[in-house]
Amino acid sequence: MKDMDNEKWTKRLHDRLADHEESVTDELWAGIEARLAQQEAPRRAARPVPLWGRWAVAATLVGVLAGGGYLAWQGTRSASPLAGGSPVMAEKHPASSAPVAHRPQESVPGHPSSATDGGAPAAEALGRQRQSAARQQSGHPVCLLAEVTGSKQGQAVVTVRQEEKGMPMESEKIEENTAPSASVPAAAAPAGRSAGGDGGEQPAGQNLPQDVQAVLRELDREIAEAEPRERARVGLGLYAANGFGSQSDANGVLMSPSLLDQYDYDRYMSQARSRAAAPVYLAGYEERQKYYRPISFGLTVNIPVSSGFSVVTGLVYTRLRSDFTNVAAGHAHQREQTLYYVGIPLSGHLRLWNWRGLNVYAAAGGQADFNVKARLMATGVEQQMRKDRVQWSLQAAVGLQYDIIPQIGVYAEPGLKYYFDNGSEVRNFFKDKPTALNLQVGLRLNF
Amino acid sequence: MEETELHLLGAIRSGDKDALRRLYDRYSGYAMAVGLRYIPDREQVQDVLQDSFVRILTSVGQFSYHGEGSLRAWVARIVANRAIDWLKEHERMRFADEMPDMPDELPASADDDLSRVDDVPPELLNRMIGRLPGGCRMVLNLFVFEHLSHREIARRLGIQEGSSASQLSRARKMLSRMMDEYLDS
Repeated sequence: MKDMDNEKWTKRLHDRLADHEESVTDELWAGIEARLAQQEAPRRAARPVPLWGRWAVAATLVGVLAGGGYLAWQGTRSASPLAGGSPVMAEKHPASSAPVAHRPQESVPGHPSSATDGGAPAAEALGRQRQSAARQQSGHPVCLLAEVTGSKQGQAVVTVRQEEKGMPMESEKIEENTAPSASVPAAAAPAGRSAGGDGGEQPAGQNLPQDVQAVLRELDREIAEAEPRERARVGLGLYAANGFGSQSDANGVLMSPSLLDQYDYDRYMSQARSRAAAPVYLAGYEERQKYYRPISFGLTVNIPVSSGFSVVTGLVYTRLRSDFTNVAAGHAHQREQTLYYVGIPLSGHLRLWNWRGLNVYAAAGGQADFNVKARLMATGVEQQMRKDRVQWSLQAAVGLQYDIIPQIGVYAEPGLKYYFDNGSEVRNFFKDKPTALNLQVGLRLNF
Repeated sequence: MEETELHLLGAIRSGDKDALRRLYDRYSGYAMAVGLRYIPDREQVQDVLQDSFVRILTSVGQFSYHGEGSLRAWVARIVANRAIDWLKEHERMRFADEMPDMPDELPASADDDLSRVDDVPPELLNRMIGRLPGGCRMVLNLFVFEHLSHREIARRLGIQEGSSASQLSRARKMLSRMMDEYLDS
């Protein structure tokens, strides 16, 4: 009864003064004109970025990432370790200064084998042994040549050099003590090297000198140890989440307890009932809320911890939009609230299954979102508004990723997200729907 | 026939400088009435109006038209916001929950109370609202003329929701008393 009375009184007062006007002096317009004149200096109007511009920026970013990934993929592509004796055809990259793997000794076709040609001089018997190997090392394959270039004073001279195609880089001369071998014809030996000092000939036959064999065995061991190793790859991801759907509610407006105390509430109740069981709503008042699902854009870094587990973190930008409509005594009053958050996610990804570039993984973690900007518009006028507190959330998801090339993959990650109540007065989707489905799609670039 | 708001906006957006003056002439009186409900001193209201109209006239190009009357409501909203800001800077407002000096009962006849509103001239009623204590005045204006709920008023002014309701109740009682005094004199 009394609330209806209050409602009538409010409406009567409003209507009585709704069209009321007061007189103004001429000085008011003069002052306004003067202020406007001061602002006549050319101003650069804020130019909203047209929608096509945003798409162009997004497309450029995707193109740069895709192009960079393709170039990185091209660079890491290389021939597999050799099966034959031919040198590696790696010509695009400079030779690495790191130790190079060696392949087991192979005879070069056409050259006399030391094992079979018993009568040839040592150098020829040894032949030109080409030991070539390739090891993928930062995309720098090299060719290793190990040659027994002669003997000197009973010592076999083995020259090992790294060589790119057409670009001999450096050479190391390994001099080892060898058993007396068959004599080396002068013509077969490089200039400046003489035959064995003791006049003995280098032994012809099957076996290389022991020390030379030891050197070659060492090289073989290095080759065997240089297994192709898959480096842990850091991934960089771009994603967008949600962006569709909304949640609408409509509430009556409760009379506050203190206001209720001022009225003889119980007199109007037919039986004793608690106020909680019989709340009093203000007639003609209604509050409607529409909460749009959050739109998120993120840039994440995927840091591998082990072969199947990685940690993901980065930065996420989220926009929350809500519309509130207050209906009071027949008047509708609409407000639009927009909240902007910057979040830091932290989650773990566990690979469950992969097949030919298709990966399925489980993800779980949390995120802290910081409200960097809050905007409230009421009939075109911006009003002051307090920012929200830090918003914590937990998420669990299952992800599906397809690597288009090893360096670039696209993924979709549907999951469930729970938003903790941060105790603030700001109403938004997080408070209205603390547990919500979440879909994240994006691009992941692996280095 | 009075120019429609849509036509006026169109003229402003097409660069008609006179249209700005027409906008001011059309709504300055109404804006003054709104301002006087918040700030009883006319000179101070004039300063607030000057700020408000500078903002109105410079940003009217971006106004989003929602139908006849929306421009007027927008003007009133800007003036109210500026007035509230001015009050926060210049007046110390108290939002007390306890009103020991006020009678607890409303006038015996609710209809009498309503008729008082109709019997008091609008310009005097406007002045009476301006003479209310700061907290009551603010809450009454926000509730009656800005259509905010007590919850929103509480959030806007940084008070409890119950305080907002109490202030409105007190505002009504004080206003009723002022109307009584006027009508009995």
